[in-house]
Amino acid sequence: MKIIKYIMAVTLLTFISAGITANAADKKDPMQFARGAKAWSQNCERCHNLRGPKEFSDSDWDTIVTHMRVRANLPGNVARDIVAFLKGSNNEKIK
Amino acid sequence: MNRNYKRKILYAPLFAGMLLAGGNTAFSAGTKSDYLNKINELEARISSLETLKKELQELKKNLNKKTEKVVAKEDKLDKAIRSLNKRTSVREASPDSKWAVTGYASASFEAVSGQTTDSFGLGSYSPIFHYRFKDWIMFEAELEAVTNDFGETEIDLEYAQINLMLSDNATLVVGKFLSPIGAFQERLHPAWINKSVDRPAGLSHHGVAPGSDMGVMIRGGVPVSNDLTFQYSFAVGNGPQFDPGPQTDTDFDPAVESEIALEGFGADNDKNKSLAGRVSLLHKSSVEIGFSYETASISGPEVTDATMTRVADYRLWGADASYTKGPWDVRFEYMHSRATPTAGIDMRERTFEAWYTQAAYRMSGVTEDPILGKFEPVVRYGEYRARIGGALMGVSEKRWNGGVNYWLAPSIVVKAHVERRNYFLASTPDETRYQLQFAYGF
Repeated sequence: MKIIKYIMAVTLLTFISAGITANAADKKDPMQFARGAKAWSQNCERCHNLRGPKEFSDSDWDTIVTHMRVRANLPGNVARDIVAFLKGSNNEKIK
Repeated sequence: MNRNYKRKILYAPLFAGMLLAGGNTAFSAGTKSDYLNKINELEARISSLETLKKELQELKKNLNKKTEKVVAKEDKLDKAIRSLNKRTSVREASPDSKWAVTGYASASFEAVSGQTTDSFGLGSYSPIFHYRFKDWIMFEAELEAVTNDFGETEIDLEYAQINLMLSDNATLVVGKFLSPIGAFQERLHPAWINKSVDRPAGLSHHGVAPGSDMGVMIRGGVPVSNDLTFQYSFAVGNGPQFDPGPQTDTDFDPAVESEIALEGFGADNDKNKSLAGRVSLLHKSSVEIGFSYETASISGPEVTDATMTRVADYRLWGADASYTKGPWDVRFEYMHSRATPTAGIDMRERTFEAWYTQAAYRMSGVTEDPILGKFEPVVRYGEYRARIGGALMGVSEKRWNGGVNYWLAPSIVVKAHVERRNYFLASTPDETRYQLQFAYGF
């Protein structure tokens, strides 16, 4: 039972911290693309070859990087940077 | 008028200078002509400056006209882009709910020394379904479909979990999840990621560590500095169970020596939950060091009267390290687990120990040749020891893997490997396995 109490306490603290740290990085950031390129090369290769931006669509990248955020314990802001890089590099559409 | 005025202004200091220099004496003829020459020279310079000024004014006028034209063109382009974006946004709507199917599949051929047969095999087909709502919740599940030796299809649910992004640094995971213990089991086992054909010795589904568990996990990454990230995964689950099978102290069957069932159970057979976790430090130099730990109580039916009782305490610890930069992929992992019988339980202690080290190098690091650069030599060595009551079991082995991978694409690989298994017990004959595998991560 002690373990359950500890877990509940940790979960509660995490919820509280969620309110504090939640997504401050949603504003337009001109450096996000560059940070994303760096984070993509540093983090993805930890387990597997780098997947090219053109392998998936914007929608797929949103989903796949969320999966990798969980699996590889990536901080949320790093995951968002990587998504920005991948979505900004997967075709030549006008933004 | 303007020119005369300027001339007067220029002459005034000159005459003043003359007066100061000459006093009341008359100018000499030579000095006067010198000054006149200088005046002429200055007049010429002024004239050229005024010409230059006119030219600059002309240029400025032209530039202004051109700027107006460019601005007008930019306005037109902006309107065109806005119009295109409207069409693009309609075509590429970004709904709140998104989904994707990824996964991996492999097919292989294996010939084993000393055996009269060799086989083609479908390694596995493992689709992973991801459903995401905005950027704060995701459900994902992986199935593994394999065809067994008798032609039957077996389907396992590898994991099915809901991920709730609590903050940038914490995600709550609920459901059946891959065990966070170690690096290989959770992250490196997919065929297109695994550098060799087989898993390392002892790190299979029935080895030293749990493959999955059912429960709740909290995990995430926290930047410690610009160079260092701390990562954590802590899980509470139903934990392992003990199935004595046909074993008793007097009638032990080595074939079922690992019957501490570690896979995620849909229900717990006791009130004791397992507590497992891994913490790691990731440096920007691409070095990662991790430590894992699990503690659980194992319950099972007693051999004598089949009542459910706590039979053992289970402890696992492990360490792993990796360096993965550019063409290099170097890894090490060690794990040790022990099931200690509870006082009064007539069961022998079980210990499991496994480790491996591996190095792989993509030739693109030394050649720009489009063919040669896709080769990747791999070597791996590992050992696995399973003991019951201190006695080494037949599955204990030293395992060498060596081979070459050829990358057709970043997630499509053909592997040609040789695996040598030297078993510790003479009763288990050594094996050499010749393996070919095609693996595709999609």
